[in-house]
Amino acid sequence: MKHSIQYYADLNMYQLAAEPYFLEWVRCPDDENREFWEAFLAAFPRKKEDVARAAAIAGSMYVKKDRPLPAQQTAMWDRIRAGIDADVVTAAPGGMLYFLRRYAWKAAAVLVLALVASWLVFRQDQRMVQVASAYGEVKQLILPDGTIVVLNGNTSIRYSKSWNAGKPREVWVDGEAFFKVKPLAVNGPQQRFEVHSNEVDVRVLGTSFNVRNRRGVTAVVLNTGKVMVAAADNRQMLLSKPGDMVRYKKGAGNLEKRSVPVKACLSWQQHKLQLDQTSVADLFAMLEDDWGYHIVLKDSSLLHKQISGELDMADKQILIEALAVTLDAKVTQQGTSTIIVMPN
Amino acid sequence: MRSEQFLWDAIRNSDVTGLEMLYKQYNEVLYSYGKRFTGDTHLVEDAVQETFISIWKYRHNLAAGSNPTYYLLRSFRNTLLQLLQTRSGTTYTEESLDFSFEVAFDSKLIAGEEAAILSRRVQQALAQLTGRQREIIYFRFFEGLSFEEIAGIMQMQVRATYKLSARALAALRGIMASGTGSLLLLVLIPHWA
Repeated sequence: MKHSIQYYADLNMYQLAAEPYFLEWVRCPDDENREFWEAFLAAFPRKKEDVARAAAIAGSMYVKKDRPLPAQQTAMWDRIRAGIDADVVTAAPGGMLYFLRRYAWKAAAVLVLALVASWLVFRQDQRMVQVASAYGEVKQLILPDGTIVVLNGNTSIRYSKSWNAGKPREVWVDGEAFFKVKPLAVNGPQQRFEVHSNEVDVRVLGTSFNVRNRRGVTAVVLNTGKVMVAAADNRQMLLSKPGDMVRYKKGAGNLEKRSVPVKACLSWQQHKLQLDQTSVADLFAMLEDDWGYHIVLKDSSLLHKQISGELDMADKQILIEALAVTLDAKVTQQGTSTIIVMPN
Repeated sequence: MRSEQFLWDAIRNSDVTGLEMLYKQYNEVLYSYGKRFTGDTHLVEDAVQETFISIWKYRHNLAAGSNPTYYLLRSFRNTLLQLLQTRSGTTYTEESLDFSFEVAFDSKLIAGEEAAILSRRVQQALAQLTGRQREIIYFRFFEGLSFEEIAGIMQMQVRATYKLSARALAALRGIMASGTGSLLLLVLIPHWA
């Protein structure tokens, strides 16, 4: 069938979105259809807006999925396991962690599932939004998809102004932030949520977790759901239980996993610091990184002392008194941000 | 090379955790693809199971560099069609295969009523194609597969996939063009009301 550009001139955006040749251009662009639609736009510049909106609609078209229920998935796997039992099954010693350690390094590239072809010309506004919090400020914001983010003090976050269907929702974090990711609609388009922090990526599909990167160390703590944490060198680790934490140190090149009390890791949102065998050195680093205090310590032997308990950060005077008691030291304030600690 | 490649290597080394992870990653894709051929849930479940069991059984013959998505779809499609044939007792020809799916749009971009009209329109047009034409449209438009990959999955020559795709698209265009008048009405009504 021969197309003429005139045929499409009087269609509105909905009609355009339903035209097979228009769909072909949006979903599977090639030289021929690109040339055709560029010629169309050159001939009918007044249609530019309609074409852009029709392209967005056509690009968002997806096939409804008939997914197996979780119970079905488990039952199928059980039957597969039963079906291969006759064979010799060698499970990896040490289970999943061993497995990941043994094979994950082989993953040469990160899986990119680009289902929607690039209709680059008509992509929506790609400008980035940057939001930052001041020292000591806990700030809540809502991302374009409804995801809730809470920023700890001295933290910045960057994301694209508009998030298009079919592309991962991406966020860059410097500092510490808690994410409550908006779950996907049951039949909605797959839209992965990704947090990039330092050299670590966190990939999720609806869950809540905490990311902290300070001084070259990134720590991800899972609150609910599941996330896959991938380091810059493509090592990956699955966090599946609340309190699972993975740490990555820039340069050291390994992902360390352990279990931590979730509540303690999230207490900053209530302006509290929960310490559990935390070294004074780590505490001071937090006071400096998150709250902007400058700590002057007169005796460095104190740095290795470990302390436990809860510090209320909302009131500076209470904090100073609590530090004095916990550290058994004279704690005084100089100016607005310097704290002097002199052991008794 | 994709990151699933390491699962592949694990399976080839007889590591059952690799099979489990591959299953977790792909069972939904295969299941929902299977449901497009038939409404028989048990049959689709059986085909999913057999696909993974046979991957394990023939793990030593798996090619090192092959693309898991493509391999799984191809092997699953074969298994499913064989099951369909034995269970119905008839000989299926590729031509008589059914393949159907429903489309939807991002509700943020297009309002409920207009989305419903548009989906129905696309749906009605798709309904007039053959099963194979719908399947190739599905792979091209929604899965973004190349003709080479589609040829492998649908067991045809690459050149034949070009032809099938072109015929399907030409048919769609014809169907849509003949219905443009009524579509115009349907779309305009909400604005007049």
